[in-house]
Amino acid sequence: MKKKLMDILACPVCKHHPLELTVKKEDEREVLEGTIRCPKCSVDYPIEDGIPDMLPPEK
Amino acid sequence: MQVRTANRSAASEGREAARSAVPRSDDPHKERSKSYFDKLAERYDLSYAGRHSAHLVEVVLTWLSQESFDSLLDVGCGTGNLLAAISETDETVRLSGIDISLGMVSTAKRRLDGMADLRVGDSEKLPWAEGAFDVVVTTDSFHHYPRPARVLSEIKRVLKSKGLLIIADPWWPTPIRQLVNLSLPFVRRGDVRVYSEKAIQKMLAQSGFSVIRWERVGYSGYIVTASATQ
Repeated sequence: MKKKLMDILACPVCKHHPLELTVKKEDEREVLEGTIRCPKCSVDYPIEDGIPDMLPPEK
Repeated sequence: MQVRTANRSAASEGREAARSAVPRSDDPHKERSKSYFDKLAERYDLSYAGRHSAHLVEVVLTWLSQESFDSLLDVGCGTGNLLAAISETDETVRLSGIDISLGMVSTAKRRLDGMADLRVGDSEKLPWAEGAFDVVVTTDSFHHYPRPARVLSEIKRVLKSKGLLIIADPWWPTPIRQLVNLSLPFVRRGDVRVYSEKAIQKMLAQSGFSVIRWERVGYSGYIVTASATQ
């Protein structure tokens, strides 16, 4: 996931944005591993192999 | 277009399998869709479902060729064939895709090689800000949605004012469509309903879309376009 796309990213549940990005691993093009956090819901969405998993936690 | 399968580490495949195994959906149809497409992802493009989708994608591309747009979201992007085709003709369009199946998104990512913003997610809960897109497309996906009104509401939210929605989906004339709908609970691929022209038009109007145009596509599909009225 490219960092600049954080500009249009919103929480899938509460629609809050901007969200918070934590980078664990990246290359010259994109974030490969990390988390995207909604500060309002206090939920972390993982980024693995460059793909953010934005499926909300099961209620 | 070739799907590249190189550079996949065993660790990457292991993580993918572990993530796919975790049930995170709030509806059994979604869980069935996720499971079915995760298993099919690597060979989807050569399957009947993949070939049906590819035909609809060609029709969607023809419609899009008449439009001017800077950003597009593909809901139920599958293996990314629509996004890849657009990126090959216009590198300036900001392309995004979402699919409930990690397997499909992983396949799309290998195909698109950084040309699109791809996410695993739920079409009822789109992770984009309001008014983020000029165009939203959903191809061979809408009949999998257990709560289509919620999806249309989300699509309208992420579309700009007067943004364009294109839905291309399976369709058959009565009574074939009704027989197909009766069979869907037993198929267990996550299919929910194949809609009539009247039903989809009513749903779009109720969700705040206007300028609705419906056309049959070949023997087994339709395309409908609509404008997000604010």
